[in-house]
Amino acid sequence: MKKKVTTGEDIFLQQSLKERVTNFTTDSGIPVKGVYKPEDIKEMEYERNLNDPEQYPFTRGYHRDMYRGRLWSMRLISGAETPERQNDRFRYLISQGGNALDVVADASTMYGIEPDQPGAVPYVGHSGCPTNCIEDVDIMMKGIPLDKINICIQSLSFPPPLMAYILIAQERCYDLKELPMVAGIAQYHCPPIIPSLKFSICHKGHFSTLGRLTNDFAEYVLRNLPKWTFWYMDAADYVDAGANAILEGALLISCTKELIREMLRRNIDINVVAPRISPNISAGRDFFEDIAKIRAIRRIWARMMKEEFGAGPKGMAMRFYARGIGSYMEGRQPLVNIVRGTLTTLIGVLSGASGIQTCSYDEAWCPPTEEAAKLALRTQQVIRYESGIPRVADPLGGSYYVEWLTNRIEEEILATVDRIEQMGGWLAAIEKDWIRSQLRQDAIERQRKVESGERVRVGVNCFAEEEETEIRVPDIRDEVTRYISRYKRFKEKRDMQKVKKALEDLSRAAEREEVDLVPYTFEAVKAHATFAEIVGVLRMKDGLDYDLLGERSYPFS
Amino acid sequence: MEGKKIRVVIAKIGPDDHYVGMECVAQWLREGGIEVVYLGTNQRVDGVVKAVIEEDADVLGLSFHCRGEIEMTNRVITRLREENAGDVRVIVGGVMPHESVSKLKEIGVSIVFLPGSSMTDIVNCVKTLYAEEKE
Repeated sequence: MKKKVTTGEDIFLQQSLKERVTNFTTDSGIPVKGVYKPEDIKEMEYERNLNDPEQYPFTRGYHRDMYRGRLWSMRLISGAETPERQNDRFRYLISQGGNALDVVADASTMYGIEPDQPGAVPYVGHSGCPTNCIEDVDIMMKGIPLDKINICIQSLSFPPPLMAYILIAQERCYDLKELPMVAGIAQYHCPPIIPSLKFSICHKGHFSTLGRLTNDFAEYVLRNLPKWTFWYMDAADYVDAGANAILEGALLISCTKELIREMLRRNIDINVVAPRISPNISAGRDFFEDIAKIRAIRRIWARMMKEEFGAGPKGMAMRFYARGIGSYMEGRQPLVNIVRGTLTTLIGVLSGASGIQTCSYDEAWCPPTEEAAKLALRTQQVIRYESGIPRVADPLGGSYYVEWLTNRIEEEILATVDRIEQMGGWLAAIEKDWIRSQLRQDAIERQRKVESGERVRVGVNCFAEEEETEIRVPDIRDEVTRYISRYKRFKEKRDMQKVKKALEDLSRAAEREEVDLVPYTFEAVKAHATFAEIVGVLRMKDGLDYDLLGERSYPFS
Repeated sequence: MEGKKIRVVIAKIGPDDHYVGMECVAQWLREGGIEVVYLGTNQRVDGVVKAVIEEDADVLGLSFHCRGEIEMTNRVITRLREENAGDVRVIVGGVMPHESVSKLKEIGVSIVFLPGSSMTDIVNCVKTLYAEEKE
């Protein structure tokens, strides 16, 4: 009789057949049982805790018809190497069925520095689109129907790119009152995740001069541009920086309170501001926990807006866009990320997001290439048009597990929000470095689980391959060189007396606390001051160097 | 090498605050018994070189996310050589295309870690690098 030879593969298969779930806690550490029953949610009452979509406390969604009324906007992030190529990308995405355009700015724009200065040049155009003067915005938006498509310019907290957009829309004879926009405004969430940019919001525990401009601009938008939505908070950034679902939810709520309080201080009605602000929330770490987190945040938001701020129903209904977590996309075996993108999109749809951003599979290597962006869009289109999933609102509502988890996460988020309030609120928590220390702790904890294999990353810490799939990162050097030459020409052509006067007027206005900085900043953008010059002048008001990198000084002193 | 701890300076140069990977590396190195001088983000070339010399570091770790890895590392290595500190080993990690690995090695970088690298591997590599240098 022949003896059967057992190979390594056989052993693997035998073990694989006996595999079972061994991790009984959610990503944020909440222990969960194997099955949930009616007794786990016996305290719940339908009207009090859930209710129909568009009914307080809005747990099940912001609109009674949900996707039967309007499907989500497909927000695909792009960040081409120059405004010219960004314009090509916009047109390409529209031609492929995209209906929302998100452009992320590069490091020169985000840090308020000149793209032609030595410390900036190596970074220009690599992590987003350089958007440094009005001409850049004009080129980027060439031929784009600004009134028909939902645009988002992600320039973090600096209003000048958005102000340039407004000036261009006016020049092209659009009615500002009809212009839709999801604009990154008053992004108080930035300092803990981008420590070098703390100056853009706060200085010594108070709003900085640039923070004041961002608040003045927020007020301007609320009063003059009724169809603009504030994307004021990138909660997913916190998850990229390490936060778990509970910390993410708590930071979102605390940051929102600060923004609302500031707008109320400016005598803006709560029913003007509350319906116009919309955060993004992360999707992708833990499927059911993310869905429960979003439902919990929606309920907390509704109660906060009603009980604390006295908002009406429109303000109580949180609209948000779900953002795939960039750091969830792995560098190894990158095509596997398409599956991860599918899961994040599903989380967004099942949670009733009004916009969804799916990460592209090359996320770990570079801003989305055209092919990767198309596949991310196709992922959304398959779920949107083929799957039948969007047919019913809040399809997981009533699940014993999801409802129990929603309740549990709500309690945890509220406890952390209380802690931040006791600390003195959002700006105090930033000043005390509390948020960063929490993020650091969570990030290290998460990495520890990846190292030990407790947190499985397919293709990274299991099923890894010796041979790596290489992503071809486009060589953009020639394009960027051309961009920098054009930028220099833009600066050379300016009437320097006009630039000087506009910057001096802005600087003088900043000396008086009660003066609105918006008209002065508009004048500076119109006079072709660069965005870095505007940032520099306002930095100086807080006693900071004109230039973040210490390479340039104020040109008119 | 008895008794002396390996000393590593860690920094990020330029307009880039993607610090999570760098903080994790610092943590794992410390836990691995390595002394870490953590400079953080928004550093300038001269400041990094100065810190390496003043701290008598054995290794300099530079992290990049928004590119700039070739130019900035080149500037740092050139400055280190000018300051007679060219023997300090330089390691680089972060988001960059595969082709940057060979380019970085040509300009004098000892090891490059791409996305998905294990912290344990990074610690072991730093220890091996140091041991080789002492031999």
